[in-house]
Amino acid sequence: MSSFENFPIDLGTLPSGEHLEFHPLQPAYKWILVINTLFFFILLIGGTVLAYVLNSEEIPSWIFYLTLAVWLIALAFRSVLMLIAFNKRGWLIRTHDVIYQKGILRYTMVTVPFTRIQHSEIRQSAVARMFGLAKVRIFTAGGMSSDLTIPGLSYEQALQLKDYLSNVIGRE
Amino acid sequence: MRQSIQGVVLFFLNAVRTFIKAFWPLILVYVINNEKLEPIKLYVFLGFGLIAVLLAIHAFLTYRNFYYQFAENEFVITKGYLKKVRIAIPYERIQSINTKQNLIQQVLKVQTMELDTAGSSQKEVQIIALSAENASMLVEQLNQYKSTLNTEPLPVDNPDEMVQEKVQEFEKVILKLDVGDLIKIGISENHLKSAIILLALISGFISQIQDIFSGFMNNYEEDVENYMVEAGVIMVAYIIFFFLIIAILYSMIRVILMYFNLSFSKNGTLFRLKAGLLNKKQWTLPYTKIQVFLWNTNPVRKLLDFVTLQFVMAASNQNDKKQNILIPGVPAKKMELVMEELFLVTHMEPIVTLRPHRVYFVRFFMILGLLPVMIAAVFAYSEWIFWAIGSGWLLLIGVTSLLKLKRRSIRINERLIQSESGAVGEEYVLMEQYKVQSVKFIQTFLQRRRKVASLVLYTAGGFTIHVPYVSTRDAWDLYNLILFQVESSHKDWM
Repeated sequence: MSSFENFPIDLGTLPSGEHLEFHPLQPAYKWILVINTLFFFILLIGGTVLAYVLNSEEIPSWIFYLTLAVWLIALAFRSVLMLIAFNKRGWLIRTHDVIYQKGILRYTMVTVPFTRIQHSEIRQSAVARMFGLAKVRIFTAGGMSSDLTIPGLSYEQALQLKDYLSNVIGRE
Repeated sequence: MRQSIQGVVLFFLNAVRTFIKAFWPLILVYVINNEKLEPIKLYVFLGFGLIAVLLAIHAFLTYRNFYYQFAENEFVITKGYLKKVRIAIPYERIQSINTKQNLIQQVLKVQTMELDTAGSSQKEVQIIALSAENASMLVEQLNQYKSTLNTEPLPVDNPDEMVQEKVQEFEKVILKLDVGDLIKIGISENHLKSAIILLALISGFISQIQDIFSGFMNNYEEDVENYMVEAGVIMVAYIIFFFLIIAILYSMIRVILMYFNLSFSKNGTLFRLKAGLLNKKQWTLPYTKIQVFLWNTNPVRKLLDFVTLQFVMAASNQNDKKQNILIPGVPAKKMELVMEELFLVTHMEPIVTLRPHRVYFVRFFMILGLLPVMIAAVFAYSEWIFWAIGSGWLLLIGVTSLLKLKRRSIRINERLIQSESGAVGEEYVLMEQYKVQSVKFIQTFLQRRRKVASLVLYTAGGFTIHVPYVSTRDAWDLYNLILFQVESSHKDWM
């Protein structure tokens, strides 16, 4: 039941954001996500070990092992979740807007109409370059939180997307 | 064109200020060691004189080399005598045109004009010495150039809008505040904020006094202690009373200084806000640049029948709060008029009203109420005081969450969207749907089980409207509606 039944604009005739078919990201992007997660947890675990070694007299060993176990479980949980959720990630160009979706525990779908795009740019980190991947960042006037980043594109895809967006912005 | 000749004085004072800022330790050394430097006094004075002359020459050259002019598509400023700078601002980039006048400028009878250029990294442009006539001429001219850009006929939804634009060639005053209003507004300001600022100032002062008297106190320690205990209670009462009075006075003076003679007026689609006693300011804002319109009240303000208004303007930087334009108090009965001038309707007539699911309350209560109490319970379950404070806290959070849930609503018609929120105070946010920048649909796995979802609407100016915990169906419908409005609109949004 919708609250919009008697709305003067017939919402049934509008293009809907539901049940869209998204383009998946490049499978190699999975590895970048894994590397990023590992890097984060290596820092975390390294820090914990260092703190224990330096203060081994004050910190009881069971606290150290417990913390370590918590990090490892968190790492396993995060990795499994990330790999399952990877298929949920996707992007899409519609007639008048660009969309990116992700997440299983917390599903989000950000949509930016072409008319509201200020500019867009291609970014490529050192790790991404090894895999031949890039991301396209789309800027709006709404500030940082409303900007849209589409990661996990092949460099050619990124170029195409950016060209397409630049074209469309000029037209609209 | 050059600025008024009085600009030389301003440039000079600015230069002196920068100089003092940079070299104040040196000047301090001279003042303290006055006697030691007696023999070379002459040279010191000569030195200062030389610096003054140099600064004056600098001021004159700065003035001589500062030009502004109207080019075909842009407003151009050229300045600098050592390093020449040319700043060009396309007319369509100009967000709003503001003027300011501080005390010195009031004496010199000149004004500062500022151009806000949002959406670009370009620094905002200032012309600091314009005569009143030149300033208003400049404002008019810039507005004219801007409007000629938009001469192509825009699709207008409301035919009244067109008529009104043509008829209103004169300035129409929408709102004026007199000193009586300002005093009431001052009373209903947030005194906690003022009190904290004051407390910080005074506690620094008191600790200094204590240092001075501590030696003296030691001699009479016992007497003093007895006396202090007796006097303590009375003292505390006095201090609280004193603070309250000071805080209220402080707010009142601040409000009167900032908003003296406030007038809010409309000329066609241009809105103008003027206010200030020592620092006179004027903001000119076209309707298209206003992204979000919000107003709120607190219980005291409600009692006095006032609301606070705020215009959120497009900003290049999200943290840039100064883009927002504030009217500290509007008599509640004037709100209909203000609304009509802004949106052509006296109040928002909703066709659909969305309210959050009761899970929204549960979430608030869990995170702010239950979770902290449970964490505290691990450490303090054996103390009776924990149970007292804990249950009090749960009650407080429970009641505020319930009030929040009851108040929270999103009202929608075919043009506008209005959000209402608050537990004790009330906040209303109103905007044109087509001004939304991007839309985010959110659904956590917990929300999915309840068949609810949330939307976030982002606007230029960094302001976001949250639509929390509505049914999944409604969330999608609103999502589709907003995007349709944005994508089918050809109106200027910035």
